[in-house]
Amino acid sequence: MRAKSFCLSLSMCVVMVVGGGAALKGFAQTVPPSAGAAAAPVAGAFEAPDLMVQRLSNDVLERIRSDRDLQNGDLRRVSEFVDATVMPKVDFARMTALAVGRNWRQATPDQQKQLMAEFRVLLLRTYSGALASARDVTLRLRPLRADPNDTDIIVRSEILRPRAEPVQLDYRLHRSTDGWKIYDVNVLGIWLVESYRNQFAQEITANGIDGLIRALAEKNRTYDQAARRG
Amino acid sequence: MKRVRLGTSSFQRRSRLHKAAASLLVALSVSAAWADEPVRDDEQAEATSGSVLVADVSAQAGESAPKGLKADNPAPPVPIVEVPAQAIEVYDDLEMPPVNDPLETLNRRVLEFNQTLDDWVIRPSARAYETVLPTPVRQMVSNVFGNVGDAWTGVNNLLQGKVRDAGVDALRVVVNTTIGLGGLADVASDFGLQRHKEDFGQTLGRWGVPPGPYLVLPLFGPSNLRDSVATFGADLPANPFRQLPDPGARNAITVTRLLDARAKVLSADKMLDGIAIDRYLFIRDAYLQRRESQIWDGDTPRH
Repeated sequence: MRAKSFCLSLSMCVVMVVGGGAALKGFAQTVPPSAGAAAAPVAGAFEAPDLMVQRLSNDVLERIRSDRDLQNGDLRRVSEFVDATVMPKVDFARMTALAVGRNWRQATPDQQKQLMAEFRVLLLRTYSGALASARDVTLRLRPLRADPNDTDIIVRSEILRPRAEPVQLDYRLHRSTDGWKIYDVNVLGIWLVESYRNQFAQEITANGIDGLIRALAEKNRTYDQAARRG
Repeated sequence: MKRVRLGTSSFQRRSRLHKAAASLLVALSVSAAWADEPVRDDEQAEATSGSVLVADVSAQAGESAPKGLKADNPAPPVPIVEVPAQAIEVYDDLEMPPVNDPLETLNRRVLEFNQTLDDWVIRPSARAYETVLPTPVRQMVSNVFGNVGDAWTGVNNLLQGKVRDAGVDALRVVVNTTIGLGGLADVASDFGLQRHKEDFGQTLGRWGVPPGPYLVLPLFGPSNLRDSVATFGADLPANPFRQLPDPGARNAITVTRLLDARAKVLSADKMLDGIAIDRYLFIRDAYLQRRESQIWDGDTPRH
């Protein structure tokens, strides 16, 4: 939906003329993302995915700017923050399933839970250190290229830093029963899930799903200790 | 060896954000950091400048743990997220696309060789380089190499039909060479003319040449058949520094460029060990994706 092709006032006129519900169905995309005015979710329609991403990103950035512990990469604080703010908008089960691949179906629910738990810690450890750099950064959404009927889209954005090239930051979202959820992230052209797929597959082939869980747990334990020991 | 921190200079600030990408790109930069090409090393600054942050971060984590963790009692384990039962569904597309890596065994050995070389020779040298030269000097060195690289980037943009970008590159070179005193200062970026990195491998990719098998080159690091041919066939010969008559000067410049690139990503590989189950696969998969993204400037066509 090319909301960009409508100016704000025109789209508001369309809304009023056609009737709120019909125009706001699907993407609720009557407001260009760059306009800044948050389109309040209409009952019965999900918040537009790009607006959701923008809102989430802004919340995260604001929180980072004001919280020293997050900037320092305190794993526990980051973990709490992520669980409270980010995770509700992430379909982490899907993310893990895609990273694990075909073998996900063979895993028992308990194994799946463990995989998710370990993968989550791995990602937290990986990215928590990056939060310090988010202080003087802004995010800019790029135009959404998607069909209103899509259930799987990519939201593209850019990280803008002072005096430097913008960094590409994309998200894959899936439309689930309770709204759009993120399930993959792309930084500088590298999709997170794809980066782990082959490693996970290799580990499972060698040592089975339990082997993968063990390997991840081991890594998390070792490097967490190392960080704590200083 | 005590590293003198000069505070948060714009150099460090500017290169910090890529941590997230750097953790994926870390070994890419480590292996390719010493590529003897006019365009790669500065691209590393962009693509892997998070590795500078990684260096900062792992310096923090490794040498002086962040305040939150430096307590007398160890921090409690990270809590496990409870997963609601209905969240775990069966997903349709769990199949992986095949990877073109027929030479995996050989590649793995070369990667190990590269890492050994890095551990014993290059990394210590880069550390020394970093210690001996203050940040502003290193920044100037980096800028000069970057300026030379911009010219070749411009040529490649033209070859790819990206005339506007080629124009920007030409303008960058002119501005930096004149106002920036021969390239010592990157004033063009301040004027809003951003650096883009292009090399002949990207040009070939744009023209439709498929990448071919994944290759790990000795010293140069991750590559593929197309890009290797491009590097040795076009990027290297095009480097003006190669035209210098004096082999001593040529070698000195080559070494400096190598150290400059490597110094930017010091300590990054410590990070990689913490997050990769298999370094080789991690590097490969990150590199292949990154390469496609570079060729298409962030708009990789969906399969």
